[in-house]
Amino acid sequence: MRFEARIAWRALRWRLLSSWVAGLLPLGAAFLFVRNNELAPQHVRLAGLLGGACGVVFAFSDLAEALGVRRPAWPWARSLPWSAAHRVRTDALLLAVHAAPLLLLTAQIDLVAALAVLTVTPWLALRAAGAVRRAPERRSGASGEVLLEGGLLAAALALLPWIAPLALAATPWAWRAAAEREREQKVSRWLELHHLAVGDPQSWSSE
Amino acid sequence: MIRVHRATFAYRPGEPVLAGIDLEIPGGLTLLLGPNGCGKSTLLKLIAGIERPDSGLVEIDGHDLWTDEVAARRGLAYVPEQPDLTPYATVREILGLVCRLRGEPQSAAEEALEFVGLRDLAHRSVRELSMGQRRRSVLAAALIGTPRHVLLDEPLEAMDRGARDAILAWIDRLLAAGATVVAVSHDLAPFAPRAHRAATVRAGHCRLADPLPDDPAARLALLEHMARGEPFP
Repeated sequence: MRFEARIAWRALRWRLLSSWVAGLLPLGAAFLFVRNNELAPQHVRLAGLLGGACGVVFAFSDLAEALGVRRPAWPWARSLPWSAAHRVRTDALLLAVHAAPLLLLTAQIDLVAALAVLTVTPWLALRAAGAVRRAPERRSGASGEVLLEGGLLAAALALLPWIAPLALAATPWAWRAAAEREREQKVSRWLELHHLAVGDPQSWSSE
Repeated sequence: MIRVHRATFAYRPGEPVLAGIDLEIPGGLTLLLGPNGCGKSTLLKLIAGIERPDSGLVEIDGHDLWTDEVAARRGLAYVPEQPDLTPYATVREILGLVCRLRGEPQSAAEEALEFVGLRDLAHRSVRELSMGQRRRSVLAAALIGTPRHVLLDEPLEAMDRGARDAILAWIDRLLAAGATVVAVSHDLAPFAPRAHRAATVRAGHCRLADPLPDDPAARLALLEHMARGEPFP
C-alpha cells in the first residue's frame, strides 16, 4: 500500500466505520421508503438518487472532518519532490474508494441512480479533499463545507439527474481548486480550531 | 542557483514577516543570520517550498517552486530545526517515501540510516523517538540522493560531538561537489571558515555580505555583527 494511503488509514482508523454508518443513514431511509411504498419507477429512481448521493456526502463529510483533525498538514513533506495535485488526488482517491460500498447499496435501490451517483463521486471526493485543506480556518471544519456543497448537489441531482455528466466534466476544475488550496495553506502557523496533537507532525507531545 | 524575487510573507494578515526579499544564492555556503524572530527560518521555509510567498516568487535552478513543483524540489533537501515527522509512520517508511519521490533505490535509505546511526531504530514509529533521534531522521532523509540545494536550520543543535563532526564533513563534501548550502545557525564558529557569503534578515528585508573578509578574525566579527542584527558596512 502506498505511503500516503497508509498514513491516512492509520490516522482515520475507526472513523472509517463511522463514516459508513453516517452514509447508511440517508441510504437506509431511502431503502425503507422504497420498500414500504408502492412507487412509480421514476420515484424509486429519485429516492435512489437522493439517498445515494446524500449517503456519499455524509460519508465524505465524516471522513474529511476526521482527516482534517487527525492528519493535519505535514510541513516538511512539502519540501519533497511531489506536487500539491498529487497529494490532493491521493486523498480524493481514498475517499472515493470508501464510497464504493454505498454505491453498491444504492444499486440495490436503482441501478441508474447508482450510476448517476458514481458519476458525481469524483467531484464530491475532490471537493472534500479541498475542504480538508481549508478545515483549520473554519469553525465548521471540513464537514460543514462538504455537507453544504454536497447537500445542494445531492438535491440538484435528485431533481435533475442530467447534471451528473456536468459534475464529472467539472472534475478537473475541482482538482485544480483543491490543489490550489493545498498550496495556499500556511502550514507552520498554529491554528487552535480543529487541532489535535495526536496526528500533528509539529507537536512535541504526540502520544 | 536559488533565486528569491520580491517575496513577501505573513503568517497573519497585517503582520508581515518578510516584506519584499530579493536574494540570489549561487553555489557554496550561505549563512542566514539574525536575532531570534527576524524571519530567518521563515525565509528558509519559503526556499524549501514549505510555505508559499504571499507575493513574489522563489526559483530553484530556474524552476518556480509553485508552478513547477516537482522539478524545483527534485534536487532540494531541507533539514528543519524542529523535525516535523508524521507520527503515523516509522522512520524506514518515511525514508522509503523519500527514496520513491527522489527516484532512488530503497538501499539508499538503509545507507542513510547507517550513517546517522538509526539502523536499529528504523522500524520504530516516530512517536517512540527522542527529539535527537527525530533530528537524525530528517538528516537521513537529506542524505538520500544527490541534493544540489541543501537547506539547514540549526543543523548542529542538540547534536553530540560525533554527529557534529559527521554533519560538518557531509557539508564539506556537498560544497566540494558544488552544491548550494544555506544554513541558519547561531553557532558561528564551525561555519565561519566554510562560508562564502552571509545574509541577514532585518525588518522583513534581506541584506547580503558577499564576499566575506578573508581574515578569519574579521570574518567572524562581521558574522557576529550580522547575527546580532546590527547594521554592517
